[in-house]
Amino acid sequence: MKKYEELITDLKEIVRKIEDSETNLDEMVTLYEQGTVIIRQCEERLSEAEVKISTLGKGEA
Amino acid sequence: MDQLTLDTWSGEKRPEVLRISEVTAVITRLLDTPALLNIRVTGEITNFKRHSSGHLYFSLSEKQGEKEYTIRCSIWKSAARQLSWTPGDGMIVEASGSVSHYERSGQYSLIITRMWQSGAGEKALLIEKWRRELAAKGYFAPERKRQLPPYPVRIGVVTSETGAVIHDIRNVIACRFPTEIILSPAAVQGAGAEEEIAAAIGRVAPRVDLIIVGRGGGSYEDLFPFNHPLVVEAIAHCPVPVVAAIGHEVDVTLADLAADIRASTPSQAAELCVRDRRAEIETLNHIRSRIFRRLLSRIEQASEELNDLRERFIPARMDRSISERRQFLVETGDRMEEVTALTLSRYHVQLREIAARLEAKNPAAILIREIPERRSRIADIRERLIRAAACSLNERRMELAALKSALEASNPHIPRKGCCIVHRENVLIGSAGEISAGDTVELKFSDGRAVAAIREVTYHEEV
Repeated sequence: MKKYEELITDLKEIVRKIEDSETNLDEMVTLYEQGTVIIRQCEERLSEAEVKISTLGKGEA
Repeated sequence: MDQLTLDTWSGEKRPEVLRISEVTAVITRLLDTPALLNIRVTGEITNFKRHSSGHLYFSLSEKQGEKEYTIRCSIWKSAARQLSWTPGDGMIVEASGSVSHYERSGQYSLIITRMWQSGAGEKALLIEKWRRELAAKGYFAPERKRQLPPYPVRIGVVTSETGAVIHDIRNVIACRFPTEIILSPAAVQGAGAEEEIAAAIGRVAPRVDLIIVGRGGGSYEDLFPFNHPLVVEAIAHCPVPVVAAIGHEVDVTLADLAADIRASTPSQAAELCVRDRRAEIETLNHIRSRIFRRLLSRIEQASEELNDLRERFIPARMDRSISERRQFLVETGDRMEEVTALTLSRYHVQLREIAARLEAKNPAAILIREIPERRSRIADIRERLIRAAACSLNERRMELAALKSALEASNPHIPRKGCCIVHRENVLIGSAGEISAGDTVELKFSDGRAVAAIREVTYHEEV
């Protein structure tokens, strides 16, 4: 599973391509679909996230 | 005090129940001794606090090996005003005052009336020495500071297992951007704390994306381990970025200086480490609408292009367009011809002008035109010449005739009538002296000659 940061990086790249005037319509539709999927994944990740806390033993290497 | 208690409790009968005020009075009486009145002490200031009322509260302490002795002290506002310097933690001072028992809290303290500074505190000196050494190694250099990862997955926290720090950090992270926290516990004060802190940093570093080293507010002494070179080096060599949140805003330890980012409190450290989830969701929504708008405008643009193309494909429009172009072609052709004819005729005129100018300069033509005139002029000149010559010739002839007759008249070789010319042996005789009697001479006349012999010569007397 991709990290949240990787999803954000992918999303930024998609936004960049969508805003590029060279991108044709077909590509743009595909990119838009991918973008909305990533946004949904990010939102899920954010809403599901819970803080987890663990403690290292002092002797642990 | 122990002795008193034992005496009171010895014997068969149950000890008398004393009220707190009674015990307190005993303690007060015991402390009211000349040994604790107007005494002069020396020690290091710790836990210094300036109350808003103007009173100063702190401890004076002394360290003997592992053992530490401390007395609480107060300087009332009136005495505090007399101080010409600002006391602070770590300073070694001398003070005079009396020990007094504060009955309301059951605490005794040294009420100081005068205080002197006896040089910078040992600890302060030591920290200054460490600061110089560690700075020389470049541990505090701004160019060493690293950026925090934008979305850390795991955050290490080095702090006490029991303190409030870990709870504060957990709460902030849970609220902002839930993430995995790994607590690497360490004693954060007291002997050996520096070793524990350094080890805790080393242990957790390989498992996390960044580390928070935290400790709540505390005295100068409490924070002392965070100045230790062991801790500073552990932070400086840490493979992931370190956020330091040690003590209060005003406390700056060497660990703070070595960290990549310094936070004023552990909560602020947690805020710096993770983004706010709500802001993140807002950003995602913004991106969603942004790419949607972009797609929409691209679709509109495409549909406009399509409409434009469709319109251009209408046959009537195409016919009109073709006939317009044909007309244009014809007009252009005509104009070109016109222009060409005009230009040509202009060249013809010019050519004719030039030919005429050339003809005017032709020498043959000039000659032909001028021959009759020149001929008549020549004939005229010739006639005038002949006339002049004839006239001149006549004059010369007449002149010549005159001269001839003059000449003939005076020629010695041709004697005038009645005269003769005398020669002897072909030599002209001009004088009587040249001849002698007996000479034969030749006589030349104008119409003949004769030979004569001289019989006598006479000379004119005057000769």
